[in-house]
Order: sequence, then structure tokens, then C-alpha cells
Amino acid sequence: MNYASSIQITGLKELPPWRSRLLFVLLLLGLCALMARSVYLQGIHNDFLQQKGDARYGRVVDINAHRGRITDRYGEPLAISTPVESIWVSPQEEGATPQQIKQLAQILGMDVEEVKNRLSDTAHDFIYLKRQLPPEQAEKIVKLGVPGVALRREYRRYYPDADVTAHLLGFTDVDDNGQEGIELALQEQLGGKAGSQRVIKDRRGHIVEDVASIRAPKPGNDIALSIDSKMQYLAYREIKLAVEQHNAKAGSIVVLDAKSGEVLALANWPSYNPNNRAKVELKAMRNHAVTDLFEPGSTMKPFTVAAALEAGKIRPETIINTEGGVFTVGGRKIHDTHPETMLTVAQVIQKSSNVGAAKIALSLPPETFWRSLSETGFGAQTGSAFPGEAAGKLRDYKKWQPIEQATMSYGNGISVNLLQLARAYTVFANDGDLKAVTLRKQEVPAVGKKVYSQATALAVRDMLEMVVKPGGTAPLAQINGYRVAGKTGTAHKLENGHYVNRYIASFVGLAPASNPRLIVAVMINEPGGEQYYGGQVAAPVFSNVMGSALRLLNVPNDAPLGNVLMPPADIVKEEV
Amino acid sequence: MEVEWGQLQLEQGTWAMPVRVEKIATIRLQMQLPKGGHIQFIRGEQLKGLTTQP
Repeated sequence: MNYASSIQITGLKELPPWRSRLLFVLLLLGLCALMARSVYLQGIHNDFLQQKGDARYGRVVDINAHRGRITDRYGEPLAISTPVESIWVSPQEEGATPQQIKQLAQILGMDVEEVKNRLSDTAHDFIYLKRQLPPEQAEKIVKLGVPGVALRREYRRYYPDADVTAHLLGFTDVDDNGQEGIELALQEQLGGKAGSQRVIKDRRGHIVEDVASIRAPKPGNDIALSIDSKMQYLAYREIKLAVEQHNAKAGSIVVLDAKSGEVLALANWPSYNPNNRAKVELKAMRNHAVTDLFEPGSTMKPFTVAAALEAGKIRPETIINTEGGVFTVGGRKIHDTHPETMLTVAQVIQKSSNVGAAKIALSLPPETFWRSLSETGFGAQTGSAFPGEAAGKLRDYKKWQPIEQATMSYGNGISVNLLQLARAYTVFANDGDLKAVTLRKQEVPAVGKKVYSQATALAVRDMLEMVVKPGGTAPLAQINGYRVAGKTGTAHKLENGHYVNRYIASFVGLAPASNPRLIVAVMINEPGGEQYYGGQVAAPVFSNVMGSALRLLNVPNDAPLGNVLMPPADIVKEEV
Repeated sequence: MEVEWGQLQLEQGTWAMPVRVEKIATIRLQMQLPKGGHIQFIRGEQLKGLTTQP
């Protein structure tokens, strides 16, 4: 055949043996290379590839932690976080029909156009459509099943007592972090730690599978405050009433447990609703009781007298020559509204004589006076740890002029915050021990710091009791069935370095005087009416709050009922 | 569970707001706070004396 012949023609020529061997070696090498590569990819280089894969479908999502509750001393909730859902979209993956957009807008209560705009904002790949929806609404949205729209669980903070506790508690921002007040001060404990979880997501961003929990969210701790919510309401109601009645600018009130230094109530007016802060003025958010300084006026006098008693310069019955109500120090005159020629030390307190207080202060070396005030906590933080607390000013005694020492004796040229002033009065309630104030509930009784001897503290307390008796500056502070010790204050306001004819009326008192349980400090800023004396404006607030609070605590009477004695004439007006 | 507990507490707190309770007590139920003179304290020692009497 042709084939055979053709083979015959070309002839079977032996191929050189190296060619087949070469081919075999080359193929073997190729195989080895492939095997090495596969071993490398599967075994050695595995991590990298796994990582790349994970990056395409695996995601780590944060799980928000539950913020701790804030309760009052009896466990009544004051602030609670409750879960809400936030709706977010990934515009690049979104593909909603106009019908769905309409429904979405309807459920969210938003404008159709706005929803459309947000959905088509392809510049971002994560946009919140609306935050903090109630769970029922969120459920409806899930049912719509719009592609690219998903939920994220968040927490929203609610304050059941609203405006009553607003300044005290502060508030949190949209991410549930503390911004003001106790929420900010105790953010560490309340906040908790967000957890994280690894999930598998599809291209549309839906979670397909929970793979593993990396870190469980750690909920924040619950915190019990020292506040008594009933007393807080009481204090708030009365301060609000007084500010409105006297047409004042603002008012603050602090109630302390006299024995432990715990803050039982702390309220200000004007206030705001922390659950709905859309229209709140910044001014209303100020916690005047802690962050504002004022010149305390005559509420300082008991400390002047105590310092002099302690130094042995005077005794309660020592007679002070009050010079008929005018006394000149360093070219400046100190006046008394009710001029007297001779007053005992106790009467100086009772009638709130500036001349008397100035003379007592001047009998002391500056350093002694300064040390005594400083030890009572003036010019220093109270230790309440409240954000923005103003420390108050007590100037260095080395720079004092005699006139400064004299005016400081009746509370001019020194500034305090209300909490600080209330705290200072714990020395008269605890036989000379100064207690630290705290906003947290205390399990063990607080240890005080000895400032005065027991005899001094008791002597001053007796003098303070005379203030509310007829002949004193504050008969309106009396309480039926309880003995009261306290001191009024009326101070000119200082504006741009000058005293103006606007006033701060205050009253600080303790009761029952035989064994004080509570301290109430009231401050009314710029009473607008005819009345502006502490004894007229602040003392009635004290009486109402203290009386109700003592009954609330079931404190037994220490005076027969019907002990309220009003003076026949006007209240003794104090010098301002 | 935890969530519901929080919500219930919140609800209770809102219903029991002192402002609300006071309003209902004074307006709807015509209640008022007893004046100081109308409150009498009975001390423990007095009570003991009373109960031991035959």
C-alpha cells in the first residue's frame, strides 16, 4: 500500500534517546512545580488566602452593650436604657421600588423626597435612615423587605422623673455615652463594653450566618445614688414654686443627710425634660447648685463666730460693741440695717449684724481665720465628683487687707457653690466633724474630719436656733413640731466687679436641732418682687421642704406641736 | 427577658411619677397632706407601755 511504501521511503530512523528522556524530565519537573505550588497554597500560604476570603464575606459587627441603670437609694429607677432599632441603608446595594420608598417614608414619618435622596446617596456605603425607632416600627420595616435596608440595635435612655432629676442625672448622647451630670461622671461604670461578633454576609449586606462571638458585650453596672426620689420631687416642687412666686431668675436647693453627708436631693429651676431635648435652652441645662459660684453673704457668719470661739477669742455671751450700726475699717464703712449699740455674740448671729461679725473676724489673726475657713471646705472641691463643679474662691490670707478680712466675715469677697455651703454646715450637725458629700449611696457611715470642738459646734448650733425665733431674721423657717437651726443670707450680686442692687437670697438650716438629721440649703437668684431677703424668700422654702422631709423619714418631733411663734412685727431685716 | 424587665420598670416609673400621683390625689381623690398639727408621733416606749397594760 501507499502508506507502507511511503514509510519505506522515509525509512524508520532511530530517534536519539536523549529526547524522550528530556521530555520525561521536563514533564516530571512540571508536575513537581504544580505539586509544590499546591502544597504552598494549601499548606503554607493558607492564612493569607483564608484572610482574603474572609474579607470578602466575613464581617465583624459591634454589639452595643446595655448601659447600667441609675436608681435612687431605695432602688427606684431614675434612668433606664431600653433597646431601640436604627434603620440604615447601603445605597449602593439598594434597589427599592417607588412603592416601597413611599411605604418606608410613611412608616418612618419622613418626607418621601428625603428618603429617596438618602437612598440614592451613592457616595457613602453606610447611611442611617433614622435612628432609635421603637421596636414595633422597626418590625414593619423588616417586613417591607427593601433590599439594602437593615437594622442595628441601639439603646435609648429614658428618665422616668424627667425634669425633676434633669440636672442631677444629666443625659446621654445618641450613642448612649454620658454627656452631662452623673451620666458623665460615672460613664466608666455605667457604660459597659461593646462586644463584637463575626458573621458571614452576602453581597447585599444581609447577615447569613453568625460564625462566632469574639467578645460578648459587657453590660454596664447599675448604680444606686444617694438620692431619695420622693424628697427630690419635694425639693424640686418647692423651689419651682418659690422661683415663680417671687419672679426670680433661678433657684437651687440641696438636701443633705446631716450624719452621712449623702446628697438626698439636689434640684434647680428652671429645668428641662431630658427625654426630649429638641428645644432646650442651654441656660436651662445649668446645674446652678454645683457649677455656679455666688457670694454667700450672712450664711458665712456662723463660721466666723465658730473660728473665734475655737480660738478662744470670744464666748457666746461676750458683748460686742456694734457702734450703733456703723463701723469704719480702712476707710470703708460697714453698716447694719438695724443699728444696735451692744450685742452678745449670739445676738450677732440672730440679728445678722455685719459690724459684729466684722469685729469678731478682726479679733483673729488672718492665718487663723483663713485656716478655719479652709478646713471647713471653703475654696476647695466638695468631693462630689460632679462634672463642672466650681471650687469656690478663698483668697490667700497673706494678701488680705483688714477690710477684706472684715467683709469676708459676713460672706463678701468669698465665693461658694450651694453644695459646698450645705456641706460646711455638717460641722454644726456633727459636733464639729466635717463630712464629705457624696452622690453615691453609702453602705458604711462616713468618717468625718474634726474641724471644731464639740463645745464650739454646739454653741453655734444654739445660736442658729435663735435665728428662727421671734427677734431673729428667719421666723418663717420654723417648722411645726421640730426645732430648727439655720442662717439667712442676702447678698448683693457682683457684676463686673461692682455690687449691684440685685440679690441672692439664701437660707441654710438643720433640723431637728436636738439631733440634726437633715441639712437643707436654699438659694434664690434675683428675686424680682418686693421681697428679696433670705428670711422672706428662702426661709419658707426651707420650712416646707424640711418639714415634709422629716415627716417622710418618720423623724420623731423634738418640740411640742404648735411651737411656731411669729413675731408681731416685721421680720428683722439683715444687712446686705 | 432583661429587655422586658427594663421596659416594665420604665412603665411603672412613668405611671408612678410623683407629679402624676400628686395630681390625681389632690384633684380626683380630693386628698390633701395633713398639716403639721394633725400628725402625731407614737414613740416606741409609749407603745410598749400601752401593750403591756392588762
